[in-house]
Amino acid sequence: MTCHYLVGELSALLGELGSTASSQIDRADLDLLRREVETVSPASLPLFARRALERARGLCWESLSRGDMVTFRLRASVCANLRDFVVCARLVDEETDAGV
Amino acid sequence: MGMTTESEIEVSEAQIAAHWREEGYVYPPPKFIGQANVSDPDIFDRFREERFPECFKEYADLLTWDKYWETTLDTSNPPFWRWFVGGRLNACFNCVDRHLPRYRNKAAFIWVPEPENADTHVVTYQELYRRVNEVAAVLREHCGLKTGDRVTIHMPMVPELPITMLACARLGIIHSVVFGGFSGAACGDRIADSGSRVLITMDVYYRNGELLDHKPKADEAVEVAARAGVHAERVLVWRRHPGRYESATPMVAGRDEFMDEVLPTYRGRVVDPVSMPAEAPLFLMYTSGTTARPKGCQHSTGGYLAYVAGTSKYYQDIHPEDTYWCFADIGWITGHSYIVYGPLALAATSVMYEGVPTYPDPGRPWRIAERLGVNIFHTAPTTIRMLRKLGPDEPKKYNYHFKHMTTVGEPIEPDVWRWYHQVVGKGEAVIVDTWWQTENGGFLGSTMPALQPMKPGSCGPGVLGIYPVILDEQGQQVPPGSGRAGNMVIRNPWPGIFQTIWGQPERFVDIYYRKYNRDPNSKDWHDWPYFSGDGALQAADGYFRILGRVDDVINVAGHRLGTKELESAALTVEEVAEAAAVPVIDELRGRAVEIYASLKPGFEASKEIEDKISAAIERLIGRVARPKSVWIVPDMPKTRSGKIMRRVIAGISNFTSPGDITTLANPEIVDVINRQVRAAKVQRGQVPRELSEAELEEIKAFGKVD
Repeated sequence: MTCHYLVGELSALLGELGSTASSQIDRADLDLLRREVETVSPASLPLFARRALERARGLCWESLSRGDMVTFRLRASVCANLRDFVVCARLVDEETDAGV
Repeated sequence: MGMTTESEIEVSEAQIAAHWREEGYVYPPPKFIGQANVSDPDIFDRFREERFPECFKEYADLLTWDKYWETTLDTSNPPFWRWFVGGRLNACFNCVDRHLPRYRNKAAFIWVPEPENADTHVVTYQELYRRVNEVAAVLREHCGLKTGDRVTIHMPMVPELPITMLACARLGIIHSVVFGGFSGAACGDRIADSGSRVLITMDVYYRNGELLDHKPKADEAVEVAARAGVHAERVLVWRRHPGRYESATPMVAGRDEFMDEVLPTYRGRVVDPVSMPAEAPLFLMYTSGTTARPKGCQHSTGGYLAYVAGTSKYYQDIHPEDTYWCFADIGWITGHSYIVYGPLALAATSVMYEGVPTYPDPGRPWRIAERLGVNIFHTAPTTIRMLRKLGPDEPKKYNYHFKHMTTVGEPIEPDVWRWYHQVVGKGEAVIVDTWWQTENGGFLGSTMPALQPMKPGSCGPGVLGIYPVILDEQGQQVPPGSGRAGNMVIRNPWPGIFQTIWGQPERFVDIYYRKYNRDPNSKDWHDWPYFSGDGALQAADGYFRILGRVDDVINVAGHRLGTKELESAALTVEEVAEAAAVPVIDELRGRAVEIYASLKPGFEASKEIEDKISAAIERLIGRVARPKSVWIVPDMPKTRSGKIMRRVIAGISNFTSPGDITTLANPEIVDVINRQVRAAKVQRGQVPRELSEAELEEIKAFGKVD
């Protein structure tokens, strides 16, 4: 299958999420995850999709806990796009995995 | 599920279960048949196996050749097939120049920027000719590039992307396009592997309503390539809005230049297309999926162009008067074959869209289709599912009419297929559900749209001149209609097949041909079936259902666990540098997982790290995946190309022979690991029983899939 575009789209979304990171640690962590996504087999993408969702949700909570609504909105928007993508790409199951 | 030997073998063939039942046929509408490029079933006779390889002359004759070929297929150095040997042509000439007498003022591309209030831009064939020539002059005269050099292009979906590709093709420069959404590091890896001296990029682009800063990726890419010993001397930067630099990153003096500042010197310049041998490389397209050296699929000029022109005409049913929209990214093989080279070879008018499908709302694609009169639409199941999820009724609001629709990239479920057919296609369009791969150049499985009925969930039979078969692990054919899955294999070469992995010919043979090769000395193509790495099953009518990638799977108590997933989970532990998952015979669960891990410099093996690895696997995959043992070893047995030899490790874990280790780059490590693991297993009372013949075969075969 010519499914490498799934790798690319997940990478692009992680890039968008990385641009909302407010600390060097978060940015480095997301860069590392993105790098892993770009080098794994498309067959391994479900695992990385779940990790990406976990990271996105963690960042949303982090900005919310600081009361930083501007950052929260940015992250929540990327998080929603990420969730829609990984569900529609069948990388995670909407019923069981997408709520991680 | 019983842990019999038979069931194990069956799982290793079938890897992924079919999740939907066989569907009935859906027939193409008469209106489509009446206008189709192919409506005479005689074509199947023209492409039957007895007429191979000469049947592909029909595709090659769609092109304009500087010199006709002497040999259609040269098999003297298998599996490095050479098509149309002796022939000469230029891909850019075939896609641009030759259309000028008749289609000078016809739109080649209609480019739609993502901001909806921005103007749509039409690039006619005449304008394409002018702009391609000017860029070719820049590449040759300003950058000093020549035939055979490589150029990496990291750009978004803007007209300057195909213009740059065609300028390369005009000069016989091999382009390597990297998907614009990829990181700078991924681009840098590809610059390094291809040995590109020039990187062509863009400052910014729109995505999902934001203007994204793209230029910093170029800086990172050049750095990454330099660390690998390859110096990109020049970075040419297109500006999304000419004259206005919108990146936050400064240009690097002596290295970076704006294309719109360089181009005026070459205004109106005409560069003669270089007449290339048919087998000269046209481009590299990298696939992901490896932490070792990336795989650059090298595609040829004559064979590739003939194949994509032929499949565009017959399967996409493109006529010069159509408005065709392939909603993919040119950074992937679909974009190369079915946005750039195939449609342009047929003088098509193509829509190009810059942004995401759902911006600013999921009605956007259908507004574009209505406004531009699109009548052929082509996209991936993920996009279709997304558009259905976010706007299930949107297509009904717009007055467009598709005659033909394509799906590409993944299997499409019947219910999604039906929405595509009924709602997007309004029940009027024929659908071709295509199966192929980056390595293949063009479609391999599809129905012929006017002649063969559609079947939701099935891609159809092999396309013209392609003779697929499902084989089991032992190389035996899985009969059509048996309901059993196996490996999708193509018995014959075809003109669109990639020529090699750039700079890694041994890896090319190992991955795609070694598995089913009958005789390494044979020069008969029949002995060199192509292993696709996709699993599939074939119905009695010859239609294929593609199931997914055939990766190594470990069956633990009926749960099929992908080795790559297990290894990826282990790699989330900070200290782990490399990981390999192998099966070990387990009396209770049939098979259990053992993980081998090597650590990053500065870390020492400890029980704590072993526990962290087990915990990471349990957390990310599930309790069933918890490894029976984690072995922290000083290094992994690897081939010279860096591939971990799981077969060797599986042998050690099961107290069987590790097999041939002469091809390893570090054979000495096998003995070290063997002693470490055996001693520990003896001490723990975990010595496995003697394996049956079938179990031995299974362990020996483990890790054959790359």
